[in-house]
Amino acid sequence: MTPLEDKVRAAIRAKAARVTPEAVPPLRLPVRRRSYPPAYRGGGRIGARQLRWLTPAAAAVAVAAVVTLTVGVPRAVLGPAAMSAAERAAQENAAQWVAAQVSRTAVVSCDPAMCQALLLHGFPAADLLTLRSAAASPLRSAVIVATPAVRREFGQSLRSVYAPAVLASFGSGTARVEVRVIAADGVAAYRSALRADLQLRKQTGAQLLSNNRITFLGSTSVQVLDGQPDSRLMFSLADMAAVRPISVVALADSGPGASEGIPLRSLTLTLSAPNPQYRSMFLQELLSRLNTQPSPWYPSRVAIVRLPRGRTGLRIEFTAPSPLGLLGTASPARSR
Amino acid sequence: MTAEPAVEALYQACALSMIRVAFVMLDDLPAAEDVVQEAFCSLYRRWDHLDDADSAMRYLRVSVLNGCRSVLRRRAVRRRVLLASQPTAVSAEAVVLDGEEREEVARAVGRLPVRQREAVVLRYYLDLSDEQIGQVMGIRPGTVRSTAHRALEALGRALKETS
Repeated sequence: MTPLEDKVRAAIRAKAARVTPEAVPPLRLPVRRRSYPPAYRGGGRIGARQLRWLTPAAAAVAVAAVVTLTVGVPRAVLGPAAMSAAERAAQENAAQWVAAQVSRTAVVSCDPAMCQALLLHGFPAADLLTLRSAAASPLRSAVIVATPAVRREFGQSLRSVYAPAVLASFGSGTARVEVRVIAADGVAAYRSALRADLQLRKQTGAQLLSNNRITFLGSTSVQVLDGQPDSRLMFSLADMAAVRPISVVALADSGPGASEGIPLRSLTLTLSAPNPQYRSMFLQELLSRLNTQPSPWYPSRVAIVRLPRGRTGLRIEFTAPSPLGLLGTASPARSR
Repeated sequence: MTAEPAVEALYQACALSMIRVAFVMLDDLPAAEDVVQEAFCSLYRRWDHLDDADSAMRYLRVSVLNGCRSVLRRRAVRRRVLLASQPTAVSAEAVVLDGEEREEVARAVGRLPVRQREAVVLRYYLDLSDEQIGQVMGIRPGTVRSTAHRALEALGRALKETS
């Protein structure tokens, strides 16, 4: 080993030694989302030992099912036939919205009828947590679809304990269906994280406004200064402005009836005074750049769109729910 | 052994060294802890698909390095966003304890390109062979040797310039 290698080894070890054993935090393992019995995992046969208790277990399940069906069926397990037309329309709209807008890495809690509707809209079955009664905890999910049945089951605790903020709301009155974000660490912690995130978005917004490669049209400058865009949009804006000067045409969110402070997840932009000859090429360049971003900056949808007065632009959308704390930490806040 | 006790045991055995590797790569202890925590969670989720303890260890090292790369990539983006990227302050105490020269070498390691830094850390901190480093970094042993060689050349130049 050369003297230089000795120096490098000693320096790296000295630096590493600054991390003391006391600095190792306890391990926090996630809840395993799917657990199959060994017979399914390895494809092996169920042994005689397992079969011994399988028969009484099956009998117990059958008895429990009969008791449940005869004594009291929670409204949540009632099928679509029990729904009014207004409820059905709201559920259909909510299912469409969730399937299109919610991140495919997020687990969604729903009652059996809504889960069925989500499956029909192509939402992966593995990412659905079916709530069969109020005893089921939605805390293992990131989003809950609060249908009238779910609201009846959970009552006030839905907003005060589990899911304080609305991402989108469909229908009205008792028929309304809300898509709510779950506060995994408690409502107070969620509200505080949302406040801190908004503060950081405002600071970043002010910095973006001073970026001379970005022009904000109409009310978008006020929206940015208010910290309304999702932090992923802010990153994308700055990243694209480093490539080409851009103009922000609109900031929006497709979540109707969202709670105050829920970030806007979509934007439309165009190139600032581009040479018409190169406009399409430059937009393609930005589009390719967005499509190669790593998670969490990879947008759920990017498309070249037609704007008024014959101009073309780029529409960018990110999935819900918005990650909080992305601007303030080296790594984004963990979401379930 | 089922996933939970096995991953817990592995965490007890090597979390410290993994956090140290991530810390040398990132120069940021909370980020290093997050990367290692995430790597263990990922290992836990994938446990049923791993063949043996060796593959678990390999998976862990790859996860930690990938996590570090993601953090560094995000940092680069943040810098572009002009989010007031603050260079990590080195405490005066640390400088005195480690000595000027070691500190200088560590800083030079921190300025190496990511791939070179990875090769140097895996070789001189974890004492992995070129074959093992190649497996973790997803490159051939010959490329590991040339990457490490270039890293040492760059370090030699950097230290000459500062001396």
